[in-house]
Amino acid sequence: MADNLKELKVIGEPQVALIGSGLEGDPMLAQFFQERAAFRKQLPELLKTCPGQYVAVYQGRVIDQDKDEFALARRMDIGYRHEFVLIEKVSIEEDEIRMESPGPESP
Amino acid sequence: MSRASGKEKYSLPAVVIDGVVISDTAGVSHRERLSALVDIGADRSVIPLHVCNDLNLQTRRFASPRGFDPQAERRSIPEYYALIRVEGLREVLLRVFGVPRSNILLGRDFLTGLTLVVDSPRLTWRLGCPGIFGKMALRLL
Repeated sequence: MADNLKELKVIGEPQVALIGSGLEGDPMLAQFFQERAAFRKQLPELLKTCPGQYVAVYQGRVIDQDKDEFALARRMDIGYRHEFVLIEKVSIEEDEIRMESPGPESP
Repeated sequence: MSRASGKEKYSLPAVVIDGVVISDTAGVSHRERLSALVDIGADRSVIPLHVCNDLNLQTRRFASPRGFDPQAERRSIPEYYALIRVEGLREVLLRVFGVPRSNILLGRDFLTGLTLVVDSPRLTWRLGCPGIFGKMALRLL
C-alpha cells in the first residue's frame, strides 16, 4: 500500500498529499490552507457568536453558517458549485478520525 | 445485493454490497451499481476519487486521518459531501473521503444504528436495521 504513496510537502504546513490521487500541486490544497488560516484567525470571535455551528469560509470571509452541516453543504453546492469553500465546525477541538482501513490502491 | 467474497479481489472473506448509489448533495447526478466494502474500522466512509470527479463533487475540506498508512506520516485527503444509498436499507448524506480506489468503503458513519451479522462458516452475512431486521431484503449466500 505504501508503494504508491509519496510525500508532497506543503510550505508552511506539516501536511502531505497523496501521490497518485491527483492532489499533487492541487490548487485546492493551497486554497484549503489559506481558508483554514482565515478561519483560525476568526475562530475566537466565532466561538463567541456561533459556537458549535458550521461556517462556510470563502476568500477569507465567513459567508454562511448553519447548525446543520449538511444543509450548509447543500447551499454551498448550489451557490458555489465550482468554488472551493471551506466548511468547518466552530470549535476549538479537532476531530480525531481513525481509518483502520484498506488504503488507496495502486493505479 | 450482497455477497461474501473469499476468492475474488480480497485476500480475506469480506462483506461486500453491490448496487450502491452515490449522488451529489442535491441527488441530481449519480453513479449506480457501485461496489462497497463494509468497513467497521473506518470512522468515515470513502468513495473512489474517480466517482467524485465524475459527479463534479466539490472538495470542501482536507483532513488527515490516522491509520490509512501507519508507516507514514498523516496525509491530507480531500473531503466531499455525498449521498450514499443502499437500496432497501438506507440513504444518508455524509462527509466522505475521496481516495483512489476501485470500490467504496462503508464506514461507521454509514453503519451507525445498523446490525451486521456474519456467519463465518457459511461465508454469509446480513445487514439490517434493528426492529425490522428480519424484513430487510438481505441476501444470504
